[in-house]
Amino acid sequence: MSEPTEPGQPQSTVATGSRMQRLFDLRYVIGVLMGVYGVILVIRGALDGPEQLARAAGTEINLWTGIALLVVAAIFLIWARLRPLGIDVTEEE
Amino acid sequence: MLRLNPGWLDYTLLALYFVVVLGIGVVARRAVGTSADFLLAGRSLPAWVTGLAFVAANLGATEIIGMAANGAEYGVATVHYYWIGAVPAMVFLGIVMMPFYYRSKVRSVPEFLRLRFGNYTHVLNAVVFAVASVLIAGVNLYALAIVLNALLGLPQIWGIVLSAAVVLVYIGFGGLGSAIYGEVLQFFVILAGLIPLAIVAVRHVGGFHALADKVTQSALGSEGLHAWQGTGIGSVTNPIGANWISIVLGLGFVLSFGYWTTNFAEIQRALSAKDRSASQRTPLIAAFPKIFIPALTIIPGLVALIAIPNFGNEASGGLEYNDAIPALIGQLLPEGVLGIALTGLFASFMAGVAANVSSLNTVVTYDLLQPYLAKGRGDRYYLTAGRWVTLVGVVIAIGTALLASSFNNIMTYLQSLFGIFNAPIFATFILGMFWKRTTGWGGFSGLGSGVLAGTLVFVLAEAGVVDFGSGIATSFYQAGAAFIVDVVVTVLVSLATTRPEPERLAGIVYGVPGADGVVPTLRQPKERVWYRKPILLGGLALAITVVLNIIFA
Repeated sequence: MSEPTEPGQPQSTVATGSRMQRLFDLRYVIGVLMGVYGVILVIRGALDGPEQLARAAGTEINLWTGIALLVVAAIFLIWARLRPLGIDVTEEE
Repeated sequence: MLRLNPGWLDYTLLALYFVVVLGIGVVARRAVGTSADFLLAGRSLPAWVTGLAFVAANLGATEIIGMAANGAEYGVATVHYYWIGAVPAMVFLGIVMMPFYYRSKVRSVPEFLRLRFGNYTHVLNAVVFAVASVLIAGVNLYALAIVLNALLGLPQIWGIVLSAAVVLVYIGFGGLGSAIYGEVLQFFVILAGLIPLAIVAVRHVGGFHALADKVTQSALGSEGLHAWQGTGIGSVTNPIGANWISIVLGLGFVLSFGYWTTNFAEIQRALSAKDRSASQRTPLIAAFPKIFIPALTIIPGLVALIAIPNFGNEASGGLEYNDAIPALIGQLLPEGVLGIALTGLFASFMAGVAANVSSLNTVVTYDLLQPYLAKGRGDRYYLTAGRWVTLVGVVIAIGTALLASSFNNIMTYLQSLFGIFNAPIFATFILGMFWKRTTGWGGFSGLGSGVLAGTLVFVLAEAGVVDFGSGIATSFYQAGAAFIVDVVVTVLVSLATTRPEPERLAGIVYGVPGADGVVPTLRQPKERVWYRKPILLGGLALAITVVLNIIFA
């Protein structure tokens, strides 16, 4: 931040430092949910027969969506792993 | 006819989502110790979280379904709701207005009015916002119940009560923090449903070229593929039915700036960011998904129009425009992805309700209880009050939803009426933030008369006394009248009343130093990495929007 935010006016001060953040990292939640969805869709996609394919205009849509979800899940899990909460100090100058 | 037939796997995917969202609520309960934790998420969230929540709070299912309907009705010109009607205002909020909101340390949008203009304007705005939030939450619940009923055959009353209960559990426990976490999750799930739907939809009609050919031959004609062609003044032939001035000024300026820069349900997400730079980046980060979301709503709309026989002709028994996305989900997606898309729709409905309720409890607690109705209590009191307001808000929303199910038209009118409040309030904020001379009475009378002017135009148009041609044009004139009357009255009354005392302006008006000696200006925070620089992010978003407008002109 370049400018401190202390006008000193409103009635009460706002407590900072969310316990929410410290309690759990949203990136893991996104990573796990997308990962589980991805695995389910890939398995479902592997079992898809001509009926499912015909429905989706010949696209193996379950398989591809599943793979895409696994990629998204991997990105979030790796990000959360590499940059855990608490050491993200880049906001300071 | 529209009934989906989800398999057990689809229900499993849906159930998994409910488990995760309720789990967030229950775990988040432990994170809530003070009223600020509950109502403001402790002001500590990173910009990517608040940014995605900012876009997701607006990406409710009514929005998605409605925009797909617009896609079928107006064609490519629907992009105006995004590229002109959202992105510029979001960039303006991030670069110009957010610094004032954040550094004033207000906990809500009405609270800024209290600091700047005093109690009358504050109460007026807070009460209107609270009433509007409850009613809109109810409308969302009702919309959700209709979709549940149509797709799954669940009785409407059960749909309403069940989804309200889920929202109540996760907001009631975790407050704004879990609302925001839920919104970010919803964002990913709805994309995971809509992206495959758009891909399959395009392949279903034989690719983009075939899609374009068939749209040209459809009722939309070749201008259905263009955003700006046929919007000349006096010769409007574009299906959107408004000339370019109405689009730029009405949709782009008056309506969208009013909504995006002062709607507390949106601003609240940015206020919960961890610092000023992150709060500025919240709407800027949100602008990027916003630029590309039309691809996921307009494409299904166009495909539904050309691939479903008799689409949009309700009179002759065809599906209505709003059925575009549900119908395509049912027709094209196999078990698996179907469940994801269904979950995405549910999630976005609930996130819409959650956004309304979580902004409602903040305004009622911090803007009505704390300063007026129950002054000077301990924080514990306000935390408990916040929880009770959440409960009462949800119960009233259920009542509104039931009311809406019997008086559908009344709700439509009410919603348009609340839209009227947005246009003048933007004028009041801009004058308040940048013109020192604006007085408390000026702000109050300007806002009040602006609302009256908007209401008058609305009523005259409804009564058929004046006719502006189309719905978009009407809302433009209505918002324009409200905006201009607000500016004129605010300026005149301010000049006629005594200059505001300097203490009232300190630190919240452009160029007036605060108690800490810091002068509020538009100087942007210094960030080392490029993707954290607000000006660069905002400029990039605008540049992409301009290029896309040229491509799709």
